[in-house]
Amino acid sequence: MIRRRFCYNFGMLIKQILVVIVMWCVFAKPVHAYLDPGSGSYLIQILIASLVGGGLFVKTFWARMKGFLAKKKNEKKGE
Amino acid sequence: MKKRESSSYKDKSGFVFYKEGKVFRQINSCYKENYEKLMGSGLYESLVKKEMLIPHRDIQEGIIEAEKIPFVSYPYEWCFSQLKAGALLTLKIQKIAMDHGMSLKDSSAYNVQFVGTRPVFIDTLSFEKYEEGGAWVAYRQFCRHFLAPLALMALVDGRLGRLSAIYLDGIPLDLASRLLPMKSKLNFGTLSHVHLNAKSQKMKMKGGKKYKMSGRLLTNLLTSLETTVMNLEVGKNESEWGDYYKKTNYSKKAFANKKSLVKKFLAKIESKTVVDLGANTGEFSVVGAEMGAYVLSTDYDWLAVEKNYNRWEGNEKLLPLTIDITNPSPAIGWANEERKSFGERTRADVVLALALIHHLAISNNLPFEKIAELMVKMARFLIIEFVPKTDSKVKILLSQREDIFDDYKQEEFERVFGKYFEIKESYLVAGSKRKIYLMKKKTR
Repeated sequence: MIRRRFCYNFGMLIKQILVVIVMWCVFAKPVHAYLDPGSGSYLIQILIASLVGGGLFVKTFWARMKGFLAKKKNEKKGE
Repeated sequence: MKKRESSSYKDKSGFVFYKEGKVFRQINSCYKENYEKLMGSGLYESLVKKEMLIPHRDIQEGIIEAEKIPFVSYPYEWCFSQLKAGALLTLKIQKIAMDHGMSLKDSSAYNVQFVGTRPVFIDTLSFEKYEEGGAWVAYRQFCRHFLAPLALMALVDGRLGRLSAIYLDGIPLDLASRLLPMKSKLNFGTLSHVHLNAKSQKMKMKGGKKYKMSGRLLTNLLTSLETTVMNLEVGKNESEWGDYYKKTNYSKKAFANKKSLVKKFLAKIESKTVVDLGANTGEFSVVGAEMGAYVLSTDYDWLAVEKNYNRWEGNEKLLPLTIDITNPSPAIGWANEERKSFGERTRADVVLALALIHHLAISNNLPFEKIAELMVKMARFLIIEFVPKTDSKVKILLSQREDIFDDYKQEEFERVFGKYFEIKESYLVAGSKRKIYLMKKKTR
């Protein structure tokens, strides 16, 4: 039970950190140079897509980790 | 006579025109290469096979004839689930297109139409070659046309689907962001695709710098959009009409009798198209659909339309639409010609107006004359139910207001409607005080 709760919190924490990073990127001061209004949509797409990718990576990593731990535990029990 | 579609001007790839009741698309030379790729890569075949894209046939070099949609409807006339189905269809098509080395260059909700309850993509010229490294040019349009209205309907109020009629190119993301509740900021999908996307509109990037987006990232983006759309659901709150048939004062016998009368009348007319006004969840529309007619099953209540759509999902003869007949969709867009009014689009064989007259005449103060005038414009035949003052539903309507309706009588109804229509048959609905008429438009 305790372990489960830990998993959830860890996932949430990662998500929150990522959201903060995006926020920081998005709300960074605009650059004073020749401005192209269309590119904003490009960058936000890349940011969101990267975050989704990051989230998926964390999810898979965590699932593998859990699988690995469970296997170890079973092996121990088997001994 | 060749007539160009008035909304078909934005895309330089080609345009839609009509000739002798058929729909054609001209393909301009600048799009030729993309069109060849669409046809040659197997994408067209794959999408048509899955019934996701409208089929067409080549007429001559640069001209194709598209299969005709029975009735052109607009996003602001769809219920939540219809818009959601359109959004998911667009994303699925984009994914399949990418597998074939192509991408959608726009994702307007107007590119989706319904054949009954089945959504289909109609813009054959929306596909362009996909080059690795490019972002999705239609991303923001997708958010404005689909995601923003869906989020507003799901998280604020189902009636906000009508907002799309004001903003022809989709709901501005900053507006959606302001209207959405706090909880939408706690969801990754709505936070990023609506709120952050809205903020990023003001963000300007350094010119000359090229932003590359790998195919894998683009797939991530599409997956995220798909998940966000999938997770949006309309609330459980009941609207006025959503559970009408549970509250109805009809006995089982009267209900069955009413149904058999409608069926009997429809069989006599051999109707190909039916407009059901005040259809609720389509209980009587489906009678027409089962007899082979194409039925526009309209109601002004969004939740009734939502239930109607979900109830008959898979039926390709019944199209549920949110239409308030006291204030139907107007003609909008450039020169008021881009999106046509409901009246202009609606020509049917029969109008079904069951349990409707008291709402028009009493709740909306509409004289019989005006009601008859509208109905005669819409169809050749009319199946209409007269609900007398002695009916319990009318009593409820009158209990909340002064009875100024001296003319609301069966004789007067027959006299006024008789000026426009020939009353062919009429029957009392067994076990009720209501009467159903079959009327035929008078030829003058």
